Amino acid sequence: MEINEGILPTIKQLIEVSDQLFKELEPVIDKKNNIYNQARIEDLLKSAHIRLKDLHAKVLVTHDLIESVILSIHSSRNELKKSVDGLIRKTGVQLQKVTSTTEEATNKIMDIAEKLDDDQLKIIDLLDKLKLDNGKEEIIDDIKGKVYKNQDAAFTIIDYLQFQDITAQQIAGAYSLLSDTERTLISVSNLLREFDPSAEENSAIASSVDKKAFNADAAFTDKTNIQSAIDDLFTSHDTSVEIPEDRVELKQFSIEEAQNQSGIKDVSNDDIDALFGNSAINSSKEDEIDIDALFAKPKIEKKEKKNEDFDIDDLFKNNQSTNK
Amino acid sequence: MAELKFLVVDDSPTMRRIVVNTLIRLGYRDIEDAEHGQAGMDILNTVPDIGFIVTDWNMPVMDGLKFVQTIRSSSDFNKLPILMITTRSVKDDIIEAMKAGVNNYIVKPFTPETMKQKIDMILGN
Repeated sequence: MEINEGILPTIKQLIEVSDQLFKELEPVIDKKNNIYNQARIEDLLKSAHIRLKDLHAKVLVTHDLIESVILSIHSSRNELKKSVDGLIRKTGVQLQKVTSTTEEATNKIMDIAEKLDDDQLKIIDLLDKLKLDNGKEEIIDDIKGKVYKNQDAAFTIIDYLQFQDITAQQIAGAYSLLSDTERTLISVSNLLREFDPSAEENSAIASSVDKKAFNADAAFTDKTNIQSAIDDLFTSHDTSVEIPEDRVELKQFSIEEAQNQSGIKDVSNDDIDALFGNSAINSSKEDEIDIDALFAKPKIEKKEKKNEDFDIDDLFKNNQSTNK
Repeated sequence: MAELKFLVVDDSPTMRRIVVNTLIRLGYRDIEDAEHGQAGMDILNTVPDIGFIVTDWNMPVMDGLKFVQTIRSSSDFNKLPILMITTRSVKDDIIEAMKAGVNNYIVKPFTPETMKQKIDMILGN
């Protein structure tokens, strides 16, 4: 017997053959309607014997087919898990790097801004003393004016550093998506229930994320209109007040684009660095930040990946080994 | 008259520092801070005379909404003024916070003027 078809058609054949066999044997077994003579019964039994042998052979082939599919899934799954674990680990590390880098930079900038603020007050004191000593009031008042402006600038710097909290929440949102994706992949890869989900080698790499600890929709945008609507709501307690939507312009981003830009086909640690290196978060000298524009329009552009750019089927194709 | 004591609750060290800095600029110097709602409750239970709470929403362990609900259901602290400062700007969230008992609500990023206005409004009431 040759099997040239897949598992399901083969199993269907098995069902049809066994069905036929049962129908042929049924009258023999059914003593009430036993219309067959001994010779006929012997013929039926011989035919049944041959059919059973054939059935046995088909079942063996089916078993081998299923076994090879399962082994192939095992192998693909292990390869897939290795590469997904690697990607997730690297991406998680990169995301954490972004958060801790921005936090570090923010703290340093705040140290400087606070020191600037302190220094302005000291300068004012000195100028006041100078005024008493040599009477050049106009110049001194002018200098004081400039110092107060510097103080305001220091405060503004501190206010704008709120971006760090917002980007940290956006990043936590991205990491949470990664974590969910990994869990989905693990459960999909275990549809045949061949693996012990509690075993360490089958568990998720990405740690579970406390989803109440961040707002993935946090945005560094001008909140004047939104705040105004909130103020109306709180003043009037009228829940029909409309709150404007907080919209962020997203630049479409694809892995293919990043690969083309970096010139590398396989995703490696350097590629992930390149992805972040090409983002708008790292501004070049040409991108001198306009502080007022920061509030008017989001300077930091979020890059959103389209669903079709990440093809899970492709991942399976690339990692499938040949059947035994 | 004793100075008003603030409790600032936010899981982001950056935001805690900014809020504290802003309060100092507005003239308030007596400030405690905590990194989530549970730590905030611990401070309320151990540090006397907290007179005003500024809290974030999204925090681990105990988030801001739960923190507000806990305060409003306690006999010792349910009258404390609470100002929520958060990135959440969706209407349903704002209404939920209002129902939980916040006295006012600011969306991040905020300006010191907005914070002063809200604190004055709450204290005026």
